[in-house]
Amino acid sequence: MSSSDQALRADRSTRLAKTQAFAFCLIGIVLMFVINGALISGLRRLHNGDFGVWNALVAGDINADVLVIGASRALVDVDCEVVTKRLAQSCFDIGLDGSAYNLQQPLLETYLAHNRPPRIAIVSADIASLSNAREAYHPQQYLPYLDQPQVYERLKSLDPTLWWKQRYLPLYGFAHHGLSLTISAVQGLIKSPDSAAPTRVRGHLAVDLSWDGSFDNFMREVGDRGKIFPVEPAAIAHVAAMIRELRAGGAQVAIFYSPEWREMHRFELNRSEVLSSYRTVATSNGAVFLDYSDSPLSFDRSYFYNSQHMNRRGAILFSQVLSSDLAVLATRGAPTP
Amino acid sequence: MTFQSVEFAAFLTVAAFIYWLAAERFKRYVLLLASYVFYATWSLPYTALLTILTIVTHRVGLIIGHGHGERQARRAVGFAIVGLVMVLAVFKYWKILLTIAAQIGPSFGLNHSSRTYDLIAPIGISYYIFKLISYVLDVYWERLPAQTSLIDFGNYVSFFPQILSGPIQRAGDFFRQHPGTHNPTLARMQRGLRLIVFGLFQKFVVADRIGLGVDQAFLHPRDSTSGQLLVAVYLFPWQLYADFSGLTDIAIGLGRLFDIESPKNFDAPFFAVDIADFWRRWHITLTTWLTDYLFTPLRLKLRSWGQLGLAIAVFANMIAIGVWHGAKWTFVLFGASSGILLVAAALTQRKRNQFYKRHPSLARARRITGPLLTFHLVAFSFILFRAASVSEAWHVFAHALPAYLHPGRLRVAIQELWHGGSQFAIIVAALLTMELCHLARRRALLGRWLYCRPLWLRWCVYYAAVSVVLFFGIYTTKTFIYVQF
Repeated sequence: MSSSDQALRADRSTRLAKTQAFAFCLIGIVLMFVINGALISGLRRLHNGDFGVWNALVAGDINADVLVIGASRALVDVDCEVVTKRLAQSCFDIGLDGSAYNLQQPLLETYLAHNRPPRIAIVSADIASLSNAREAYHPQQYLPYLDQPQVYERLKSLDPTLWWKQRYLPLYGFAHHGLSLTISAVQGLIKSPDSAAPTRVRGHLAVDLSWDGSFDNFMREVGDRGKIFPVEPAAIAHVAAMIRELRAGGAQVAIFYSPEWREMHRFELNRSEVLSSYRTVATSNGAVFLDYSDSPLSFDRSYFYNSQHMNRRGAILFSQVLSSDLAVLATRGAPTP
Repeated sequence: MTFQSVEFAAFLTVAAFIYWLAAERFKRYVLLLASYVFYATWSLPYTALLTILTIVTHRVGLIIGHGHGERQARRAVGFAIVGLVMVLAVFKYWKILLTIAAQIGPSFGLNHSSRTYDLIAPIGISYYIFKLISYVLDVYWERLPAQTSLIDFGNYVSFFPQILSGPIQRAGDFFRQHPGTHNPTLARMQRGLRLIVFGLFQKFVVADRIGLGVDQAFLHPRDSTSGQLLVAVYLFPWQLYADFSGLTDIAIGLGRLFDIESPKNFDAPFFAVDIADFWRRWHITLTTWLTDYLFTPLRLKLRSWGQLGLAIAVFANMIAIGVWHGAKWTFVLFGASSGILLVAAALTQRKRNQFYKRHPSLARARRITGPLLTFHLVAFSFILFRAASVSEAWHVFAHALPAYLHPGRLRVAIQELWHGGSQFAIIVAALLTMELCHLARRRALLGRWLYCRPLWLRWCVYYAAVSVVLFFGIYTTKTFIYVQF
C-alpha cells in the first residue's frame, strides 16, 4: 500500500472517529432530554403527597369553593374534610410547607390560572411569615412545575442560576435533588403511589403526633430574651396582592391566625405589631382578620405537637370553629375597604 | 468555578474546542489564557499574585540556569526559596503567625492589636508554590535546563487541571511533553473523558455519599454515639480517598484533553502491607516531592547519625506533610503520629523482613493481615486529620473504641447516620465498584475489554456510567476536600 493510500485511510478513520464522537454526544443529549421528560411526566402523574396537590392544581381538578392558602400552619391546622362537611361546600388546602407569602402568591396565581376562583379564600397568618423567603423550602417539589410562568419567575428571583439550570438543563434537577426524587418519578411512571410522600386529604396533612419537644429547644435557645419577628413591607405587599387577586375573582377573603400554644406568646416580643399588620392589610384590602391565637384551644397542649402546629385532634376542633365563622363570612360578606 | 459545576463544563467545552481548532503556534497561548481565565474566576487579585510569582521565578530560573556564576545562582535560589516559602507562610499560616506575634510581642515591648485580619489563602497556593520551588531547585541542581519561554513556564505553573489541588507535576515531566503544541489523539481524549467520568463517580457517588454520615459524626462528635463514631472512623479514610482520588482522576483526564499526561497520586493505598508502603501509595506527588526536596537532603546531611538520622529525617518529613495541610495542631499531630509509625516501621524493617523470611506461611498471611492492620493504623491516625480540634479528636478516639464491645450497635449507628440501610447499601456497592475499577485500571483491563466490544455496547457502558453518576451522586457539597489545602 502506498503512503498516500495510508494517509487516505488514516484521514478516513479520523473522520469516522470524529463523526462517531459527534453522534455519541448528540445521542447522549437527546437521551438526557428524553429521560428528563419521562421523569418529569412521572412526577406529574403522582396522586399523593405534595406532588399530588400540585398535579391536581395545575390540572385544574380542584375548583374548590373554600380555598386554604398558607404555609405549614395552613397545611396541618385546617382539616378540609370538616370544613366541607360543615359548610356543604368543597374545601381544599394548598398550604405550602416552609413557605412565605412571596412563594404562596405564585402558587395562588397558578391555582387561579387553572381553576375556578373560590367563593371563600382563607389565608393563614403566623408570627414568622411576614418576611420573604430567601430560598425555597423542599425545592424539589417545584421541579415539574417550572413551566408555570408565575412559579418559575418567582423562584428565579430567589436564585436565578440555580432555577435556570433546573428548568433548562436536562436531568440537572434530578441530580441536584438526589435519588429519592428520581424514585418518586419512576413510581409515578409506573403508576404506583409515591412511597415517601405523606397522605394529604383535600390537601390537608393530618399529623398524628403528640408534643415533640421542639418548643422546649426553642425556649432553651431564646431564653428569657424573647424574639422579635421581622415585619417586612415587601411581605405585606404580597399578602395584599393575594387578597386583591382573590377578590377580583369574586371571593370573600379572610386572613386567619390559627391557635398557637399560649406559652409561645411571651416569647413574641412584637406580637401586637405582627397582629396589627395582618389586621391592617386585611381591612384595607376588603378582607377580614380572624384571630384565634388566644382561643381556648391555645391553652391545651394536647392539641399541638409544637407551639405553632396542631395535631390531628386539634385541627379537627379548630376546623369546626373556623367553619362556623366562615359560614357567617359567607352570609354577611367582608367589609368594603 | 469548581470542576463539578455546570459553568466549568461550559468553560471546558469552549476552551478545549478553541485549543483543538487553534493553529499549532497559538495553542500554548490558548492554554495559558484558559488557565488564567479559570483561575481568575476564583479571584482576580490572586491571579495577579500568581502572575507575579510566575514571572519572578521564571527570571530566577534564567539567572540560575544561564551561567551568571555560582555565587549569583546560590543567591538567586536562596532568594526564590525564601520568598516562595514566605508567601506560602503568610497566606497559609498567617493566623498562627499572628497568634505567636500576639504572645511574644509584649515581651519585646510591642503592643498586640486585637483586630482580626480576614485573609483567605489563594486557592491552590500550596500546589503551585511547590511546583515553583521544585523548578528552582531542579534548575539549580542541574536536573533541568531553565525554561526560556515565559509562556511555557506559565503553562506549567498555572495549568488549570492541576492548579486547584495537583497532582504536583515536576517541571521536567511537564516540559518533556511539549505542552501546547499539538492535539491529543481521539483515543487519548476518550481515555481522558472516561477518567473524568470515573473521577466524578468517585467524588459524587462514593465520597459525598459516605460524607453524609461521616461528616455528621465528625461535626458533632459529642452528640454522636460510640457506634456512630467508630463507623465514621472506618469510613472517613474511604471518603477522603474517593474524594481526592476522584479529583486527581478528573485532573488527569482534563490534562489528556490537552495532550498532557499528569502523574498519578494514588496506587491502591488500602492494599498497602505496612505503613511505609501506604505512604508510597498515598498522595504520591506530595510524598515524592517532600522525599526529593526535604527527606533526601536531610538524610544526606544526617547520614553520620545512623539510625537516629534516619528517624529524624522521616519524622521531619511527616511533620512537613502534616503542616502542609494547614496551621492546625491537629495536622501537626497527624504528621507526628504518622511520623512515629513510619519511624517504627523503618527501624524494624530489617528484623521484620528476616522474620518473614524464616516464616514463609506468615509472609503469605501478611498479604491479608498487613493491609488490615495498616488500614486500622491509618484510620485512627486520620481522626486527627478530620477532627476540628485536638480535644475533639481525643473524644472521637476515646469514644469510638468502646463500640468494639458492642458490634451489634454498629448496624443501628449506620442506620442513624445514613437514615436507613439503603443508603449504606449504595455506599458498599459503590466502594466495591470503585476498587474493582481501580484494580482493572492498574492492569489496563477495563480499557482493553472495552476496546474489544462492539461500538453500541461501549456506548451503552458510557451512557450507563454517566447515568450512575447523575442519579446516584450527592450534589450538596460544594467542593472537594483537598481544594482547601
